[in-house]
Amino acid sequence: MHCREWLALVESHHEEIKAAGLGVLAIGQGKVRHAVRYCGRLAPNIACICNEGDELYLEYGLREAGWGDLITKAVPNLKAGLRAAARGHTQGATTGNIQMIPGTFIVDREGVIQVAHYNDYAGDHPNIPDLLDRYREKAG
Amino acid sequence: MTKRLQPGDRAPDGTALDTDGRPVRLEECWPQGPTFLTFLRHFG
Repeated sequence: MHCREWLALVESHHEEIKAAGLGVLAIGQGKVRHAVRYCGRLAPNIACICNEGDELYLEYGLREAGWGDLITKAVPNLKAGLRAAARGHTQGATTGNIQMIPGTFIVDREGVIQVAHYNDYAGDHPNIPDLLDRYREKAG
Repeated sequence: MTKRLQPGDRAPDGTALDTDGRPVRLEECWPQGPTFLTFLRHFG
């Protein structure tokens, strides 16, 4: 449900992201048919790509939630889950490594990371306008 | 523990499949313009 909420949120901001001069690329773990169904329904204006493994996630420094997260992030994760549910996002059958904690990056045309956001927990979505502001500040 | 990337770091390259099943290499995406790259936890 966190991922559904996030992808729908990115979709709802896609014009704003585009206006900032950025293209959007969403990466998910799963097969092509999962990406087609999932992204087609939630984010028709966003390019989605997929891998069955989590190697690319690890390359980008993303990590799996551990036992400690279950304890320390239980309350904020529960709140985030309730928020997602209130927005109509339910949990479907999952694909890939569900312990992976998401993240978002803004990469410039030279392939250099300008903004990096690592979620603290699954439902810890960044504020998209804030990410865009941080990018604009760096891009001048 | 994986190393977190910071602004100024080079974005790692890698390949994934688009919704038509064609391979997409990340390094070939960057020159097309700045990219808002987001990793979903999973499809579900």
